[in-house]
Amino acid sequence: MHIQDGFLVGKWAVAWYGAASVFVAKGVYDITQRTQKVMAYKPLLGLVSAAVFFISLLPIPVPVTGTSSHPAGTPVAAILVGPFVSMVLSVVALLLQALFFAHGGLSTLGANVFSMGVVGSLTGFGVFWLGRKAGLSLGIAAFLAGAFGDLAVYLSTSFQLALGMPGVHEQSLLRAFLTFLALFMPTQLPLALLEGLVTGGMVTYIAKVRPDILRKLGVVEDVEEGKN
Amino acid sequence: MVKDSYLMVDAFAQRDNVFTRMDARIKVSLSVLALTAVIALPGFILPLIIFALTSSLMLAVRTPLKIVLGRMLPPVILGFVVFLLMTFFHQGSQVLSLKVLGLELEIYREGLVLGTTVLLRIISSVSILLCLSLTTPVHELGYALLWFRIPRVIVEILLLTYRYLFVLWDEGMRIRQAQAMRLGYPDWRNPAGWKKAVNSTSTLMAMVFIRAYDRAENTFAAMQTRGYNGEVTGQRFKKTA
Repeated sequence: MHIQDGFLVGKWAVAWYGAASVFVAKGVYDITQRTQKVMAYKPLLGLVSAAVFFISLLPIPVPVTGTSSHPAGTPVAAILVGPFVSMVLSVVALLLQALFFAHGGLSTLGANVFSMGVVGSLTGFGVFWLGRKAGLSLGIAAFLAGAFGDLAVYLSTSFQLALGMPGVHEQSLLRAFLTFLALFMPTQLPLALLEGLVTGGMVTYIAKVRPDILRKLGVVEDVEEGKN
Repeated sequence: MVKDSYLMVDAFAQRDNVFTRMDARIKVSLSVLALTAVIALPGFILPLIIFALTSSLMLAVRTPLKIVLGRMLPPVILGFVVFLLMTFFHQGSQVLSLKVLGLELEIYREGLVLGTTVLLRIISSVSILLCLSLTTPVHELGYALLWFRIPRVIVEILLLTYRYLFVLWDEGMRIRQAQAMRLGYPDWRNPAGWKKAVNSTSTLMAMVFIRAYDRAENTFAAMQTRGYNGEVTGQRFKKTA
């Protein structure tokens, strides 16, 4: 879920824009540098971004209730193209969603980029990197990255909503945060696990059928050569 | 899921009327200005006026009610939930209390005002963005964003993403249909069916990613034959005297 236009009061909307733009600037710089060496990089990112956008719209099955929900998608993007580039992709996805799909909004774009893009990418990539360092398999590391990344996104969204609530005073900030958390958690906890499962499954599948892609993107380093 | 109403919006932006002919920069500026006013200024009247203006614009370009409702309803429902939350949980001077199913619900004046403000803000800001997307094709929007000094990298990726989103969408749905025909998505209320459905979903995600990756190479080749040298070029806004 993204924060809709109108939820955040002016000063917080601007503050989150500022916070997010620092990280996004680093991503833009990275892409510009890389494009000078590899001209095909921007078209590649465009396609990857469209794929991640599509993935984030896919219904993933939630057990028991029989309903479906949508994954965040940024953890897997961070694993595949790196955390800072993934932030730029989240700007693009959120801008498109705000303008053409009526999810989120322009004034809350900064806040949404910060929670979904910055926090989601950094957590997802960090957990994946740590997991790989600890010697976990590709699938398990991606599972953890997806699960923790998704959780981190919703933690920060709850925090932003609590902070940006018009009329929230200092003493009730914690209470507002816990209220939003309590509202999100029943649906978000299983969803985080599911996002982990499909992220792990997706990366494992790519590693199985097209290991060359992961090698080219620098996700894995020449391991399991000749195994397939 | 992307519904028809999403896809249709682009078709409306391609039609010819006074608003689609207007310079995209003006439309973007007006939208941002209206949004800022709605969010920054207090009171109920301004959001209502803006909502009335945007509604009449949508009427003027003859947008079917189905599309307007399809796009406005989800955010408005969300806003209504917030409205209820604020009405019941915000402390202040009590207006009235209700007894529903043995629960005592107290409505406070401050909460009511705040809830209404947020709800009105949501409604009018969604309608502003809807108007912008109904009258502006994506490529024109992209050039307007460039003019407003949005980083080139972001705009180029945005245009490419929009171009290929629908292609990948079709491809993904084809794969999904093929999977469903092979019983890839059984009833997922039982553990075995759910496991199968999760498996199918992750395979579908991986396949779409792989196809996007391969398509990127072809796209790059096609762009190169048309003279791509690292920057998307095209229509520019001419300097006006």
